[in-house]
Amino acid sequence: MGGKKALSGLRILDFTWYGAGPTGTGWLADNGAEIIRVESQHRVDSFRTGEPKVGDPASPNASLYFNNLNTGKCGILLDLNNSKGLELARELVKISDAVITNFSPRAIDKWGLSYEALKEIKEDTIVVHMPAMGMTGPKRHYAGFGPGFKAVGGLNMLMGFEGTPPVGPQGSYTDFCLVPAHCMTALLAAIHYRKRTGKGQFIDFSQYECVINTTGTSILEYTVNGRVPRRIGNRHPSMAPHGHYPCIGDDRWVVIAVQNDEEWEALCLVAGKQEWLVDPRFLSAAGRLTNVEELDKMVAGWTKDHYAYDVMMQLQQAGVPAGVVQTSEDLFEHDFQMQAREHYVWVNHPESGRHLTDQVAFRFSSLDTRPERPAPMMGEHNDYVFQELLGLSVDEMNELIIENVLY
Amino acid sequence: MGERQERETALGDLRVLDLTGEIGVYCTKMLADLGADVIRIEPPGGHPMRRIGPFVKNQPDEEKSLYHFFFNTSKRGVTLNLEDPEGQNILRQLVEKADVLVETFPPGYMQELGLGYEDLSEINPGLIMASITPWGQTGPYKHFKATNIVGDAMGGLMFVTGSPDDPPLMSAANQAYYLAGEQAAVGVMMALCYRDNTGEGQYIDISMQEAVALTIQPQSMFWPGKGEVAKRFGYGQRTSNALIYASSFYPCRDGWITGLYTQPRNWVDMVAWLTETGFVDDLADPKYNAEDERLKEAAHIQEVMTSFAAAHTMDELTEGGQRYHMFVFPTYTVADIVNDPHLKTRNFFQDVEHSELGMTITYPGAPYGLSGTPWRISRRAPLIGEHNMEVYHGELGIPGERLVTLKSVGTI
Repeated sequence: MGGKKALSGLRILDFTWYGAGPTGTGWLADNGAEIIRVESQHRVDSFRTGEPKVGDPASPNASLYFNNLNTGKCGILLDLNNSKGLELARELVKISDAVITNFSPRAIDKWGLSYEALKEIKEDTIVVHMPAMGMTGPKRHYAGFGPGFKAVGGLNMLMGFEGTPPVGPQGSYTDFCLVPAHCMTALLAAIHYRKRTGKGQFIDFSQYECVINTTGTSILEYTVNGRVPRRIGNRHPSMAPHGHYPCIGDDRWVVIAVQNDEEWEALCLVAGKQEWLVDPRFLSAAGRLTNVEELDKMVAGWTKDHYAYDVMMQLQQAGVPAGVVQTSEDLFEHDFQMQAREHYVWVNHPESGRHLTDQVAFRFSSLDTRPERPAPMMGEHNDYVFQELLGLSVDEMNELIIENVLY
Repeated sequence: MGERQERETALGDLRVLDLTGEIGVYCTKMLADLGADVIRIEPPGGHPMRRIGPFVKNQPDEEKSLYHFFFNTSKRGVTLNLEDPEGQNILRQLVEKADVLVETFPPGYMQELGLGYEDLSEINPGLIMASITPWGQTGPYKHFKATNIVGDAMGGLMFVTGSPDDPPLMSAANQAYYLAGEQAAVGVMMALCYRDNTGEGQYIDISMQEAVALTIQPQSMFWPGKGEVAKRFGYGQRTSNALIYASSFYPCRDGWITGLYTQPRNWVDMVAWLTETGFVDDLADPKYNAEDERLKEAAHIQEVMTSFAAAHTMDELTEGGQRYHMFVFPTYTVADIVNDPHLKTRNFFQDVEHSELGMTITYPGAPYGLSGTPWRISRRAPLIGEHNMEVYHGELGIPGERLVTLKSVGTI
């Protein structure tokens, strides 16, 4: 621990709450940026109160949901509805490289956090506002969460088996990589640009315009060919077999993706089914796609008597793409790759104790990506931020506490 | 489309070499649309991605793949045979002047060609090299094969995606590939910020499996936290596991909506909304204020809500939801998105000229609005070898007759 970090020296004032914002600033914190997370005592981030709790269930500091996403940050409590609180927030803007919020446009105006207002305080500031639908347009005041963005961004209608509701990827899928990765890329690009030119700027980040960009060619299929893509379940337009196949155990599955004839032959040999190899219906990809119903039944008939990991290992050793449909337990306990990569890292939290937390999906050659510090408890870094960074005296702080500006 | 005359861009000072396949090509699109000069390096004859559909007017053709078009906007394109020693020399020359190289070959392949990070960083110590692979460069599975569905499955996303009554569901539009590219972009930008401060280059090893695993963080933490395995809940969040909240997908007059009555605290507002619209049935009865009673009567409540939803449009329900503090969202089709007045007001879509096809094609626009250095598509995806002359002759100074020879022996 304690290796060099990519973003040392970068300080970001972070007003975001819930999922997408904190996830992104959490990556920056783990990689060395100083993230000052501003929270409210009156409107506690619901991630702080959500399960899974480890420790006192009534405590706002004991949720692994929150503690996993917020590692490495400084946490302060500040009442933005109090003019002195707002004044302190403005002081923090002055000493920060960038400011990020996911408030609604109305709240941004109410608290004077617009780019125009913040630029007055710090000429070269970089401000990211990431409300649901962006800062302009007729729906700009809409509030929303991840489950809505995947729907309005078009992912849901592209996913699913025939006859089932357009369920989309799990829950708040967009919050935990898609949206924050786009947002952090834009923010860091603006920081790079400022380094080069000295100029700050404003980033208007809608939480579903990036989702639309991840629907692949579906928009072009419509604008060029007038076609609205259908949902195809787990099948593939050019590969067969392709999809989920049952294995021994409750709700246990393996996925297989046969890309070419060579992989098909390898699968037949692994399955010990010489007769499939010579079956004229399955000799070519075209034939396998035409007879996909029958093919899937045959493959499922083979996999169902085997353990998912055995099928994956045997197929992979024969050069066929295959994988277990892993559960969260599998990721932590049974996946030798995740373990070898040390994706989950231990941190020590004052209330939840030692717990595992995610790190980013990449490793640097000479920089450390691992989270080092746990998520902040409510107001844990008030003293550091207000005394050390802003230079308030103990008396001044106590006065602000009495006035309910800080807590 | 020779000289680029345009507004300042965030990454306009960067040269990026793009050696990506499907798994990483979104990363270099992100960099290109933010202004980097991305040179896409394809094998002679073109990258296999060009053979992936859909195609313009459904005509399979390497210059008509919409898949190639979408992921390679704003890039220039050259062809180069990396397995040919002369090709490797040309790549080394390109690396001298490059800031970033992104590649997606199997682990070890670039080293075998003498083009690993150790080799290339000797030529250019400031180089940032990113390798995007299914499993990363290390670990026992590093040589395993994976397509998108394998990434979905092994990263844990697939198990929790879909309805509890159905098998696990694959993501749409190759999300696993996207996630790998998105994480790579973040890694490249972090390494770039570090280089801006120190001058040091960096090697970045990105794992698709880990990128997918990030997307299930709320669910995955139930294992170390509680020893519980999160399952498929359809729409519902893991934290609201009563079935009535899980099934908040409703068909309505012109499509599907999500997010109608997802939390116990929405009940009072839901009843007020049903009352206002005349669909309340007996649900205003105070007995329903008890959570237990609502769970007992879940089927009846769902029936009432189903008729309520069916009588309204997606937009009516979305607007009503905002008034009643529920984040109801429309499940838009591609057609709905393209015709959305909100996106039109925001000038989201961008028209790109494809002169050799005699067409202007409408592309999805900015995923982020940068006020000072706007995101933009500066040019359509390159034709096969379109910029060979410009790059090899114009920039590297390779004589024209030499290029003819290199072409005849299949180097370019």
